[in-house]
Amino acid sequence: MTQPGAVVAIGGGLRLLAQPAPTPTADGASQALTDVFLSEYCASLQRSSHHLHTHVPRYTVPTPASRRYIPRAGDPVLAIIARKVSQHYYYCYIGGSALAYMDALAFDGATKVSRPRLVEGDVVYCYVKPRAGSSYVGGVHRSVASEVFDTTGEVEVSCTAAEVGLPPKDWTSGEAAFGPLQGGRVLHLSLAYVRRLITPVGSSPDKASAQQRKHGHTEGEGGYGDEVPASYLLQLLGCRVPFEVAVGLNGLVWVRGLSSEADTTAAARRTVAVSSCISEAQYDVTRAEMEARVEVYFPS
Amino acid sequence: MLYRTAVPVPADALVQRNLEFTRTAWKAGLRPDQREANQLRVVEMDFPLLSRDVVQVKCGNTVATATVSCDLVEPSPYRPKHGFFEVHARQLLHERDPLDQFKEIKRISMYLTRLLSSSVLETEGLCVIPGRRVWSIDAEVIIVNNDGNVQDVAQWAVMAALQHVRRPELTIRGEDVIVHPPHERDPVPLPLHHTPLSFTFAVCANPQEVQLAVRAATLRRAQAPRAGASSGANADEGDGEAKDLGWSSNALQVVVDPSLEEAAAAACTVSVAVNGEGHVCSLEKADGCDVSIAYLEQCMKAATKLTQALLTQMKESMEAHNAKRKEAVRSQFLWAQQRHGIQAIATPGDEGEHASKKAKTEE
Repeated sequence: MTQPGAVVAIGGGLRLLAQPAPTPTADGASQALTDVFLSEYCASLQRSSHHLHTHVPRYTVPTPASRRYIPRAGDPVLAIIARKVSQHYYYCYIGGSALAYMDALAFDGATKVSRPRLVEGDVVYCYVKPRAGSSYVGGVHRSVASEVFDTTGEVEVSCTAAEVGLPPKDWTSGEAAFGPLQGGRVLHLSLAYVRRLITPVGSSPDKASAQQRKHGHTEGEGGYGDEVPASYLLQLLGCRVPFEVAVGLNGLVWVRGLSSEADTTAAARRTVAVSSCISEAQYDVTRAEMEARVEVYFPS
Repeated sequence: MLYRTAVPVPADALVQRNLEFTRTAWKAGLRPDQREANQLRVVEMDFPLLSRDVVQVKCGNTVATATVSCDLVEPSPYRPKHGFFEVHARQLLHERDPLDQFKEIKRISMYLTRLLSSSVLETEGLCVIPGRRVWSIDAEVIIVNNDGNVQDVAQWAVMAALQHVRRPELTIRGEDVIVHPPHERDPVPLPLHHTPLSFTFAVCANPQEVQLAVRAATLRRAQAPRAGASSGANADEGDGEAKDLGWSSNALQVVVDPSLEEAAAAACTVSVAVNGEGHVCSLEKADGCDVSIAYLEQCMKAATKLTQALLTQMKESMEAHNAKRKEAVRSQFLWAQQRHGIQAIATPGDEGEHASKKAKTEE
């Protein structure tokens, strides 16, 4: 695909295939080495620029075809507290093959006395922590820089915002990026759809990790082309109805409509309408389809 | 270690948040999937094969397939004049199903047997020769996908299959029984007395708890009138919202066709079976809170209305399947006509005769 000697970066879904050592030929001419990349999913290949070195191309397979979520370092996820163990850890369900665990003090400003009291069934917006060491699976060495977790290792999630480059706020201030989510409703959507929900409109997909939570009053910014990511739907909904949404890359989406002083049932009605609209818009790809969908639910 | 034993996930914790939201939506007079209180999900009935003994019923994402088979067997020596009629239920289980799902399937099978045996299909009518030959009707329903309310969907599938299936016609001479193939004589339908359809209702809240909550709200409102709605952090807002959203006149009391989350969030479930004439054939209430007669009468009234619409849809599906079968027979006849060089322009009598013969052969 690329020229010999080119420098490329690979993302999720691609893996370098190990090759045997080249043997010298009889005539003395050395054959050119060609690296082979193995694709782990059946999906379209996507090319973009590296987020640090813009001149280096980056190839990814962005949409995994599997329904099950594979944990990846730095991914924002929604975790449901499944079990509390030994007063220091929680077992969280994040949709993977095993439960992830979270430290009870993994919140900004949390101490042994002052920390969130989570119970079974609570929903927490957090991210997957990178692994501490390396491991050998099948003889292939995976270093810390590798973005893909092997599914047999333990997964840890955390709510400290400084490790992912966000400003840390105390969990008691109500302005923290991560933390427990009160009320609302949890939707189970496909992995490809939640990835489209988190992709900004008209921006590079590499900046998606910096956008964890979107508030409802975001104004629609201009985009190009006919096909837009699903985040355009969230912008359209934000113009019509006040709501809060937290999108996790593991397929869970938390939606809560804000309450109104005039109507006590406005919060429930808004949550029902917004969640139904987000669920039904899974196959909308163009701007006109999304606008028609929002118009049906919230006539202007 | 390369492998790590999976920690079992308690299913209650995963759906806890959605259960709380379902109850909040019921208080506001809504359902989480924006349906009305007495509105079913989209129901589709389809006969996928050309034979008459297989039916597939979809209600939203719940899919059930029913198959009916008829055999001539020897009767039981204790009841020589009664045939056999059994209903079996099976389900394709997934990894997310709870471990005691087979008990639920067994309960559905027993419910169907109680509802249909000796009431819909009388076993005495299946007798051919007393003590020697009786009909054995075996209905089997397979739950392909469970998205809530599988009991009703399974019952609808069995009823549609029983109405549509045909058994071979018999000629009895003394003790000799002649079973006519479908191409000799048209098969005959089963002798059904009536067609009950079952509907499951979820009672949204315990009536006693509702009365207590209303009384407490009245006392609280009389004691301390609120100066203004508190607004601030999420916790305060949540508390204010929970207090404000009490039981109002718009709150739902009974909802039909509950989904998985609604069935788990309900105080109890009531199943009502009503036939086409508006008579109640079965009334079943699972464990849960107490319900008064007013709730049951509300369920029966709603079920009576829903039965008529569903029976009409069932009849339309059968007529569409009959038309499809006739079209298939006609296409075969056209092929034979071209193959054997029969002229396209023929007399109406000859064409009718050939069509009828082919139709009998196919049937």
